[in-house]
Amino acid sequence: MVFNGAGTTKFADITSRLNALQGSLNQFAIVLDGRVISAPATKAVITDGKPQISGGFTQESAKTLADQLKYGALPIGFEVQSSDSISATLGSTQLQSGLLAGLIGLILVVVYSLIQYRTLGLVTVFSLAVAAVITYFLVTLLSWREGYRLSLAGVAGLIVAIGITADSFIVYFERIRDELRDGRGLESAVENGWRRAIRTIIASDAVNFLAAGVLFVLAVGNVRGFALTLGLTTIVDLFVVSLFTHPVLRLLSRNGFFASGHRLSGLDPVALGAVYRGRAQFAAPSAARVSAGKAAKSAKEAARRQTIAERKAGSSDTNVAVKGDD
Amino acid sequence: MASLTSLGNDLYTGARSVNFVGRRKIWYLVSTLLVLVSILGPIARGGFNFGIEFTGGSEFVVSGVPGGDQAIATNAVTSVVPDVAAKVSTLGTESIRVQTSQLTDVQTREIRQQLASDYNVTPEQVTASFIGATWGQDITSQAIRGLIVFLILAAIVMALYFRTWKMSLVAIVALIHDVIITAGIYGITGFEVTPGAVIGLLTILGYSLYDTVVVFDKIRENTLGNGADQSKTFGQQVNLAINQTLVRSINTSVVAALPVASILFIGAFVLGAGTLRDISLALLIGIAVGTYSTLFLAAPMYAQLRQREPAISKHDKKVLAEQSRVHQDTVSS
Repeated sequence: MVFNGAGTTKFADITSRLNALQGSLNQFAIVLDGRVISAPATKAVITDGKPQISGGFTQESAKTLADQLKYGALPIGFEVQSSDSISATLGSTQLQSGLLAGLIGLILVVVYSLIQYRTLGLVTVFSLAVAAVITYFLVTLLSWREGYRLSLAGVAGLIVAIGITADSFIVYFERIRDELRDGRGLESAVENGWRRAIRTIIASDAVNFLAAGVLFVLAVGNVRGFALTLGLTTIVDLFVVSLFTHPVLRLLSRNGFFASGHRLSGLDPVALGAVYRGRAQFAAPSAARVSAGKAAKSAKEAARRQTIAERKAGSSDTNVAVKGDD
Repeated sequence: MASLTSLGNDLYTGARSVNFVGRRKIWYLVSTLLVLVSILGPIARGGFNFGIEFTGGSEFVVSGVPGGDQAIATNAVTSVVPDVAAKVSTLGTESIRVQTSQLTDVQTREIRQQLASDYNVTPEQVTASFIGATWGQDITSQAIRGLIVFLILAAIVMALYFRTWKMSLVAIVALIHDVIITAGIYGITGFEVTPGAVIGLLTILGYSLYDTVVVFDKIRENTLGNGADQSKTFGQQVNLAINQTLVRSINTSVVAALPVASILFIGAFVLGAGTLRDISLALLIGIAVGTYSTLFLAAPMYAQLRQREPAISKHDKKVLAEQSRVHQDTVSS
């Protein structure tokens, strides 16, 4: 910074006067748009018109100050919209209770999926854990590199993410069960179920990601933090379900416990309504619950449509049975 | 709960089913009533109860007063500024929050000192803050702008993916239905509308649409090409699809609602008023309404829209004739 002739004389006058004063009285105030952007103390009388500002600047704050001095007036005016001071205890109570609530919620989710899907529920639990670790890592990375701060709105995004992430597993498991009901073996049920599930998962996650993307671009502040966590967890969800859950299920489908359809595996074909017919063969699922009247009617109908040979065979069967009873 | 598995089997084969499509008039009536109540209820109550972030004002928080009497705060405020109404609520277990309309700096300082001396705490334990009226409105107007862009884009994406604009249309109708009802519950119960609630509402939009896409994808599978069961009418195909994903819908909404409910519970009973409670209430209502609207509103509406298409109505007539012939056969025998 170099002053011109008139400036040099004036600056020399001011600095000689300020330098004689003590404490904050010898400080300059560099004012821009009514705000003090810097208040350096005078260290010496400067007569050559080449002042310097020195102090505990970081590279960033020094650059900001230099820019402000160079370009002068700021293009926008500021208006204080809100000012807030929250005591540390209040913030930490909120956070602790929020975390506690999240933990209780997660435990409930674990219990529910274990009841619903038995051992298979463990896959949900581990997949959620993997998703949680990746999300934690990403949030930490963002707050370290980009200065992102997790707000309560961001926490809300994370809470909803539990549901949406778990939904991917639920959609996948239900598709596998549907395939088992159709009488497929476990390995092919996993492959077929996956092919159908991943379409649904990608389509629904795309809509979710779109919501997050639009909100992130168009909104600021709180809403933006929320959109960021929502978008982040959507991507994490896709990664986890295709790179962790699916490979794990593939491995499990070759494991005896699951492949044999153990009662506790959550993939028991008998419980799923597929009728066991022989070695790895299942009948197509039938409408098991037919009303008694309907059954009687169809039995009559079947009897009416029998061929003569069938009727003969049927009556001789009855005879045999009668004889047996004697 | 394990019986859900056998219920799932029956729903899959069609042995048991909920008649979502056939009884649509009942569901439409229920939804219409809910929407009407959600619109008229808040009007009858005199509008929404907007939080300080929307109206602007001053807020004081006294910390370190376990079980503090709220009346002390009200008296402290009126002793300094007689004509100001103070909204007092408990935060957590040992803090008290006082919200008033906007005060001058002098009044703020006096109230702060009054609160400190009345509660026997140091002035440092009383925080005072000022919130401008534009803050909440800024967030909301941005949210609404984002929302409109999102709805248009989402409608286009869904129309392209499902290859029919009709799915987009009913999904958006169901979404608007969810938002009106969620907002309506805020209006009727008099819960404060804070930026937290607005964010919760936005989340609901995402969740509601997400849920609709998952169910619609199954409908697409059951009604398109090889997956379609030609012996069923279009409405029956759609109905079977909804029933086949019903176990998924139940499981997903329970799993999504459990964490939210526990946060609402902790938020409402342990923390008192606060962002967590505001967000989680909107979320809980929205998850319930979002799941309901997909099953009972969006899917039947979609079936109804498509039934009018010439190709589908021709197929339906053929199938119905066949089904009534089979039915008569069994009855006559």
